[in-house]
Amino acid sequence: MANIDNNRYRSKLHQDAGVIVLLLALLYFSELYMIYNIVSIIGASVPIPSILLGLYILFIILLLGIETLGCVGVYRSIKKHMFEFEYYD
Amino acid sequence: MTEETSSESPTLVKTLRPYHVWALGVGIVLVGEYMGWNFTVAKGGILGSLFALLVAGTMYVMVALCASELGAATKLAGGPYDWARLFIGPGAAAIVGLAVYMEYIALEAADSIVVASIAQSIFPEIQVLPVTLLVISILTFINYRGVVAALTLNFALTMTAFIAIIVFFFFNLLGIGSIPWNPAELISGAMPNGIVGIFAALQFGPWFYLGIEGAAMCAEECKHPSRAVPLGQQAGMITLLIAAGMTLYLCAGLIPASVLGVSVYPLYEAATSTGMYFLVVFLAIGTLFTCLASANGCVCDSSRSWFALSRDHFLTPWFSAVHPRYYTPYRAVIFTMPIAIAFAFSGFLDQVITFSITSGMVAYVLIPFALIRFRKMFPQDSSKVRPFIGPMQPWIAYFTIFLAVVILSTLNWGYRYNLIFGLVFYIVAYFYFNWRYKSIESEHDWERDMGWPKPVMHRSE
Repeated sequence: MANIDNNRYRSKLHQDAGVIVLLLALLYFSELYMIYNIVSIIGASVPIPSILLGLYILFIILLLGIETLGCVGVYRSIKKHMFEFEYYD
Repeated sequence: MTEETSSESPTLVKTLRPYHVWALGVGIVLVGEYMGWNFTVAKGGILGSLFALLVAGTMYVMVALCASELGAATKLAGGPYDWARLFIGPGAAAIVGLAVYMEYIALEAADSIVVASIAQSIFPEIQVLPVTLLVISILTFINYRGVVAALTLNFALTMTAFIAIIVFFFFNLLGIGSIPWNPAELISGAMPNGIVGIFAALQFGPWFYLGIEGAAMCAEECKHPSRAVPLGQQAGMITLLIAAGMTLYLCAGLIPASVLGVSVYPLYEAATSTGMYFLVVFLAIGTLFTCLASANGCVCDSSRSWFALSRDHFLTPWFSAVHPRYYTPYRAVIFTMPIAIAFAFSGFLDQVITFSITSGMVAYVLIPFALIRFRKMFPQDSSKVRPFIGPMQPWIAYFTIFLAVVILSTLNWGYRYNLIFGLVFYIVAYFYFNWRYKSIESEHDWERDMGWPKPVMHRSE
């Protein structure tokens, strides 16, 4: 590990994190925009069963929440092992 | 210190990076946003499709996390097959290996037929079946020549198709070119078959994401699998969720639900309805590219599954040979061709696709189960055993199994005999391979095969 360039590794780690953050931001925006528009447009004219609305809310929270936690896990894993496994050489 | 796979497989070259993993996973699946997902609309309308997108999306996010953890730990080419072999048993390993193989080979056949059909729509004088054969042959040759070239090609094809969806969505959002997105289309096709239709739509929900777990199957060929597999797979899963949401939103407002539910190329038809030449051409290219990328990725994944089954003597070891110059499992690669052609020439495309979904669902029950067993056998989170640790396990694994069984059971609406046939096929395979494999090998040498300590249940021996 003596020859590892720490600054380069930090920079590469931030690049990995940046890609994921960008994708996550686009995911949050597109999913919430899509769901809000579809449900509000249809809901204004057609009665949507309350159980279905509840399921939509439950699953969007699960989907975004678990994916976000997964991404945090990936970041932590790379940060923890990047020097040990020489990820960026 | 470098990251090494402890099992003896020096012949597969380790060159792949996270973007190759992304290209393999997304490349196989993105075709589902261009076609196939819209059958959810036929069953449950726009609200049913939205429900299927969210429920299947949640299941696949969890499957991808299980696959990331297992792939980063084992670093083996068989992916789900190897996880089942190591942590469940020979019968489960065989049926997962076969399920994954059938899932991808059937998908490859379906994709190749669609590529040929697109070619025929452009050049009406050509025949579909010879072009299908040509597509399968060319993709087999590319995969025979090397995994890096095959997946770099997949990256270019897939990225183009993904950007096409993004551009289409933002053109609509920003009002560029006055796209006729009509809210009345959503209302008229909201829920045509009531609440039963909403739940029946779940059977086609997997089309949005079917096959993303295959991204982990190139782990043995990754330079740093413990980084490339989780990073590439999670980036891939997010990409698919973005594409799925954008596709549903665009198509729901541009095509009447009655037409959308039976459309062959819904995203392309949505682009056509805008009357914008640029979008029409871009989405046509996207449709063609995504089919090619999917078929290409399927050759890669199905051959690795066959290679792994052969390497462990579930099949004749003849298929486990690696090419001395190109470092590919070339016999397994070439053998995908006759099987894909047989599927393609069967003429039952919808049956092939349903069998692919059934096979996928079998795998989605066994992948999280393998993770539960893995965590019980190796509870330590050392770098050597478990370099990536997924969140909220094993609860996520249990919930994945529950959702996979729920989605599998919805095939009962309309595909009862396919479901029964698929399950009988895998039950027979389970008992056959359980019996056969016991005579070949019954114990793992964890230290020799994986470089791991003994599992918890064997520590006292």
